[in-house]
Amino acid sequence: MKKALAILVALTLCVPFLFASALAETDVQKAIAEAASMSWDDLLAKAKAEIGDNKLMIYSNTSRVKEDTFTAKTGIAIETQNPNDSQIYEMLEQEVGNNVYGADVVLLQDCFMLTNLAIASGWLENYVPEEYKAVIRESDQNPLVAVYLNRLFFYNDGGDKKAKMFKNVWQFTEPDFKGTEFKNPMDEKSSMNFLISLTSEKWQAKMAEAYKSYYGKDWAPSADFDNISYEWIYKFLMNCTFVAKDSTIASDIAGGAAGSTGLFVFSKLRSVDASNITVCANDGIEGFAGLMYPIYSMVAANAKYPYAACLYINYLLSEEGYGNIFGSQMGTYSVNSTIGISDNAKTYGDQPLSFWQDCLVFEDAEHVQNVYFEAFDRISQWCASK
Amino acid sequence: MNKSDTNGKKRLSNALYAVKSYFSVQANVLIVIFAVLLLVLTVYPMYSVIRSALTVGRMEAMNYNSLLHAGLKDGDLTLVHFRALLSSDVRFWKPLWNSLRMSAYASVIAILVGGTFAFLITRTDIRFKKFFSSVFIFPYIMPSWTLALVWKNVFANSRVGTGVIGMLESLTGLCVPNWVVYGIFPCALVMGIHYAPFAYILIGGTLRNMDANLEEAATILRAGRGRILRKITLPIVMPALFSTVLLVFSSTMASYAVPVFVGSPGNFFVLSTQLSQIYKASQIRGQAYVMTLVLILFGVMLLGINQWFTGKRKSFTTVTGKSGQVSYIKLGKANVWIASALAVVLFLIAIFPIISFALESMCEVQGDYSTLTLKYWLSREDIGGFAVNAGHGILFNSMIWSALWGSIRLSLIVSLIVGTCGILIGYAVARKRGTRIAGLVSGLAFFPYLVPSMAFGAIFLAVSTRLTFLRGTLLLLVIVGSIKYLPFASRSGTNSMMQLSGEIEEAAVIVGASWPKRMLRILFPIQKSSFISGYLLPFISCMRELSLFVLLTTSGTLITTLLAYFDEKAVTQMSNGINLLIVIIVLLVNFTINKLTGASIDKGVGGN
Repeated sequence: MKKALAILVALTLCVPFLFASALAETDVQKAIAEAASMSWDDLLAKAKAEIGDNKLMIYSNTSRVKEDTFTAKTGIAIETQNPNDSQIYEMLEQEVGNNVYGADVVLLQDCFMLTNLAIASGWLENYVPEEYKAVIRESDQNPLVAVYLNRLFFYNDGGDKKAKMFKNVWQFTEPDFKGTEFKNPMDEKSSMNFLISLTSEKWQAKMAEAYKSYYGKDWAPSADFDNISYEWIYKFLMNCTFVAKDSTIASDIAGGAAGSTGLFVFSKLRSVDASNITVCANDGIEGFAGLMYPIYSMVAANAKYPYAACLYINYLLSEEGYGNIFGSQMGTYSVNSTIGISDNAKTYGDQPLSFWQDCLVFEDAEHVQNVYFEAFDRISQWCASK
Repeated sequence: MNKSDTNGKKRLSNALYAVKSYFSVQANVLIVIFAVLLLVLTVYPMYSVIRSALTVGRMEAMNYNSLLHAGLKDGDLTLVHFRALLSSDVRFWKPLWNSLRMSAYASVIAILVGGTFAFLITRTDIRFKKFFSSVFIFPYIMPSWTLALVWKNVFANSRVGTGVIGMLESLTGLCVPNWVVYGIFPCALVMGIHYAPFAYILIGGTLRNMDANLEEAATILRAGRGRILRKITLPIVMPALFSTVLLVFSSTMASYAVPVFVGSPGNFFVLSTQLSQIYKASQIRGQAYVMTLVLILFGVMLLGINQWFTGKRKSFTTVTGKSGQVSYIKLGKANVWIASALAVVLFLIAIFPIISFALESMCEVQGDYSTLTLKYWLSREDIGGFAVNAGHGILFNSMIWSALWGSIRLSLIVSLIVGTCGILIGYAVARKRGTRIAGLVSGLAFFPYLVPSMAFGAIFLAVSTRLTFLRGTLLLLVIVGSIKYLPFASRSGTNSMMQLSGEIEEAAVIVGASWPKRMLRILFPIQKSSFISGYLLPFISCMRELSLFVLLTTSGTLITTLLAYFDEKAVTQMSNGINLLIVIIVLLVNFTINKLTGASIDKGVGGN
């Protein structure tokens, strides 16, 4: 009886809090909840009524969202601002943090900062349209990933497509293969999170397999490294060359000697003569062949036009919208599993997202969350001490 | 009425009289106005920098608690950023040492290259002066990284990096060692050449205006050339030398692109690259502000030395109103050789990058000149293929023209404001030289130069969230640009005014000329070329600025924000074309000003 009474009292005490949280729901949260189950036409009508002749403001680390087809289809004009990732977080802090309107939609990278800074501070809201829930992996829904992009190991094959020069990822740590070009992870969040993701148990096991295959012996911990991935990271960082831009790495390899290597965003291959360039992944390299990182799409917590923001995210997830914004590029993959890669991309040896799942290091939000500060500190010291 | 009342009234009346008489002098009015204005405009940024260096945000607290068990909370006042940074050899001391070395070498190179060039143009009968003088400023007009790119394209070879063969190896078979291609050597040299036009403008201006009678008198007294240079020429150009060192050293300390392009591949890291990287990491951003304070400290030290030196001598006057006939040194047979050598060097550092922009904007495949096409300039259709959404060719692309107009409009407004303020500050500082308030104004006007652009942009983003009427407006960009580029104009204004003898103005005062008349009809015409450079330098910098404005405006507003769009889309042809457009616009503005006013950055120095 006492127990029942205690539960009753506890429940009674909880009621005001439940109401309080229901009352605390913001206009943006309400709009998001409503928009999630709306049809395209209903959401469009609502968005147009809301925004009128004003412009939908998008902050994005990728400038590709500057796109006319959304306006052509919906009649809603958009405005974009393309700061880099850390600047977007800074803008959110200054704007949403002070409840000053800045953006409606935000596209950004870096699972750690997104979760621990933007979402934890209440600057961003997640929105997943009901109609796409079935075709997006659950792990990509909260926070919602819009697209995945990859950064791959490439090498100059000297014209010999059967050269298979790189069979194992440990080769990149050897003095014979010194100078793999790579963007400094301190400048590139996706590269930093890739290295941190590599230290997970799953990748340690894969790295140990690759190690044994390459050196013919089991890896053993040492005083310096108790994690095989850290050993690879350290040796790779000491062996690689930091280059400022992906497009520079692409042209350096295209114009370089046979055997020159680099890790760069796949889409940059389009601007160089790719006839001498081989994607390591296609040679079946042991270990891993590069990295895959997500770009998240979120609604700003103080968005002025939340319905229009949701409509834009719907467009981004649709075949038509994805096709118009990212579709023709290689190295870009919709999170909507019904959308494949374009014919243009296939001509450059691109493969569907499922192909990359086994051979690329995907940004691992859970692991990154657990080890971020220590791993970042170690890696950043190594980068500076080259 | 008692005696103390009478004394009090007398004191008040004396004080009022003193104030009235102080403010009856225009230089005093100006110096007080600018002191107040600059204090207001620079105090908040300075406060922001210091506060960020001494407090922790949410991510910073989490980071230090995780690594150091610091027990910090969001907003806590702490010295943890200082401790963490100053205890790191690789993150702070080594890059600081590298920065100091690079900046010192770059200053020496800028003075040697720019000073020698200024001497050749103003003091010798070298051929093609006009052409050389116009072309010499190109390296400053172009973004510094373009020169770094040219350096790499010329000296890369099969023994360096991925083995891309550069021009030198393909023409001569010569392979230079790695340290020539990457590291401190190319960084200092590229920065030195990029800023050599500063030295040319500042030293050249002084050399041209210097009273040649001084040197001639020394020659008559049989002083040797070396002695004349040491005892007469050098002391007179000293303020210009110091100003050059101040600008080049500070600019090089804060430069980012060149060390990233030709430093990092050679494992040469400097403070500015570390600062930028640390700034991007929210959990240690406070350390970037500590670095900013260090940069400010070095700037203040240099400024202090500069002021001590200029204050020590009573006068650096070179323009006295007396005769100023210059006798050119005859180069004789060496003229052709020196002119030819100069032409080759100028072609490489000033013309070649422009040609390379033009060619790259026409290559279907980067670097493959067999695939030349005008599609990226002339297409009236969408460029198509992978460059989808790039719009029409550059000449018919409304996005590009609109953004270009946005940049030109902003740069013009900023340069007008900054140039005018620079002249007024220069006048006030020169007339009040040696006083504390003049030192304060001179220092405050230079301060924005020392705060990295991205931090400066972030500080004014914060300002705009409090003063919301500024958000997204042209006014905000104008304010930020004006404050950031004021140092250029204030240095150039101060320099020019320091050269002017007070007697010239005094003569005008005696004949009853009003202050505006004295400024507009006497002082401005005499030092027109230097003042015009005070307008042009901010214009150039503003036209190619990205990081200062990226947080404050939308992506299609300015040409540089649009440039990033094409860069990311990997439409390198369009981004090269836009770079070419920026250079052409700046040259056109220089040319137009030259035609309209008879002055230009280079012309006043002796190119005419």
